[in-house]
Amino acid sequence: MNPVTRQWREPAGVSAHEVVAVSPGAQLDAPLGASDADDLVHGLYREHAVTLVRMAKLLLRDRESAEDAVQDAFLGLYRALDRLTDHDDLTPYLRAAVINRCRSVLRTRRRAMLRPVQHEPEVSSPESAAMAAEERRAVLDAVSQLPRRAREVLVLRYYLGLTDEQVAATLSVSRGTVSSTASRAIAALGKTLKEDL
Amino acid sequence: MTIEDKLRDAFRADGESVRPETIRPLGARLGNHPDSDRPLRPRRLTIPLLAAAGVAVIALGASVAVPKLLPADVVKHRLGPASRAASTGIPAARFPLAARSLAGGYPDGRLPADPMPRYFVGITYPGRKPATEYAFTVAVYSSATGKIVARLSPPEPGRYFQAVAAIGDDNTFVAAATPGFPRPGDCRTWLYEFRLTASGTPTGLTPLAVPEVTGWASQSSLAGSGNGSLITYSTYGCTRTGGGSTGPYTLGEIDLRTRKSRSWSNPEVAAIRGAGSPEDYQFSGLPALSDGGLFSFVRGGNITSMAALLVRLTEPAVEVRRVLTSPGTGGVLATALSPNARVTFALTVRRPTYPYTIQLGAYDTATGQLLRTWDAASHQGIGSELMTADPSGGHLLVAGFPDPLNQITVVSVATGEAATLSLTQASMPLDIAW
Repeated sequence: MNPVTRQWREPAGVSAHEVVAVSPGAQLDAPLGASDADDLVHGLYREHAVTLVRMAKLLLRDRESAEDAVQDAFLGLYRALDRLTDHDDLTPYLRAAVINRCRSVLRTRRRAMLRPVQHEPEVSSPESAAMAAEERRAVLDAVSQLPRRAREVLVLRYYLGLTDEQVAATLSVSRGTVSSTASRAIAALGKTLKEDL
Repeated sequence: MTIEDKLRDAFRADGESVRPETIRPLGARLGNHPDSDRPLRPRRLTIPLLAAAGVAVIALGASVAVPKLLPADVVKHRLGPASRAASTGIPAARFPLAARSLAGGYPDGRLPADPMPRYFVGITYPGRKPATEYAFTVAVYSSATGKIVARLSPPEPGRYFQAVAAIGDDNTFVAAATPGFPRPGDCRTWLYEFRLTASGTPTGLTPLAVPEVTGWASQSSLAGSGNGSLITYSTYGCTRTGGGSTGPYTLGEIDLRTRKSRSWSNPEVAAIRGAGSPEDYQFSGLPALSDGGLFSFVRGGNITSMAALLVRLTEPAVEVRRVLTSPGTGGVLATALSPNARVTFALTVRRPTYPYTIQLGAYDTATGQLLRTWDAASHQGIGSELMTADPSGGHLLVAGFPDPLNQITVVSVATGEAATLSLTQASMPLDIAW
């Protein structure tokens, strides 16, 4: 394990507060106007927000954080629109962006994630009331104990219904990794659920 | 029903608990959002760019010219946070004087030439226990390779290490442990002391004979002073159903010479990382504590307004001075202090979108002036929030940097050399101390 070495550099004589005034992301060639970008991103939000929030909630087990992650992903998309060449299918980008933000949230709140989660379903709807069923709770609890990548693979595969190729593209891993991760995760779940139920 | 079917069923049912009509609208988060620094058309940028350039030139001119024109004591009051702190009645003398240079932030105006400690320690979650059991252990890492050379298990069943801090020298550490499962009536934190042998073996794990610490410690919630006299900690209270990341928050200080402690309940700066609502201030804990009892905090109401703060524990209320504010979305991720607190090292986000850029900077604590900087691109996202300095302040250890998932960077303050160590994801620490 050889460390990679780099070097500090002197700042260009500006103070911390002056750095604030210089936008590092400023680019001059923007193909979309602000209102076009607004319309595009709002349209995508209307179309995909619910699914993405649900996906993020499965990964984070927390509704508020899930919504934050999705909102941040769309805000990031808005900023990045000019650097993205394919505006016709931004769904994979959004999926990956939400997953990246979920990872950040999990790292920030790893302490909370590793604590046993009291999964309290909302009781205001028949669907969520049904969630109180012991088996579903056990399944979700067991999933939450899996390694991060395994959780992501399972959610993308069995909630979003993505193919292994799409999962691989979203997570930037090989298709073989997706298959093996899913197999191990299913096996681990089977063992855990057998013990718990 | 197969496992796959159970998964689909559970996921579907959980997903349906999120009703479309309850999703927050995206609304003003785009064009009108203060952080929406999306590039615009050239013609729309002309005037703002000129204005920004003008501001930068004026500010740059001021920062360069003012020190040449005014006597030192006047300069101190003309620059940034120091003047604001003075105007709010905080005795300026109790906070550090300006370092003016990186070396000025160290005793005798000299950068330390001490070799880095051979080992650092971290809290890890090996994840090999049954699903219902969590084992947070102390891991000892080689500073040269990042390889784990030893582990220290929790002292007894039901207690789990959460945070660790160096105290006094690079061989002595304090670790905080909490119950594994939060329960009312069990809302406390235990503190332990241990040492490393020359070969990196942890030894002599003993409970610290100090007053009981109430609440739960989390990662980065513990700091020790280099002279071995003080420990500060932050904890959060337990809710009726168990742990919970909402108050009451407690900030505490333990004097190891007298074994006395004092604490502040719900002080302005005591909320711990992970506090929920955007209205709540969030802090990344107590990453550094100087010999003078000053410690650094990262604070932010949300991801757009993070600031590195220097905090002094005084009664009845703590005193706070802002060292720097984040340049944009992403904020200040972590801080560390030189031994006399005159230099604040901060990890900030320069570019919050792909490819992410994170900057490690050394700032003059008194003036907020950037003294050294090191940018790193990350293709994995932003996540690092752990940084610590060795006892001499001559080396920095930054976990999750530049890759938040599996890299640690060791920086020599004196030479500027930065070495990146690659770790496995399972060995990435949740907290670090050197």
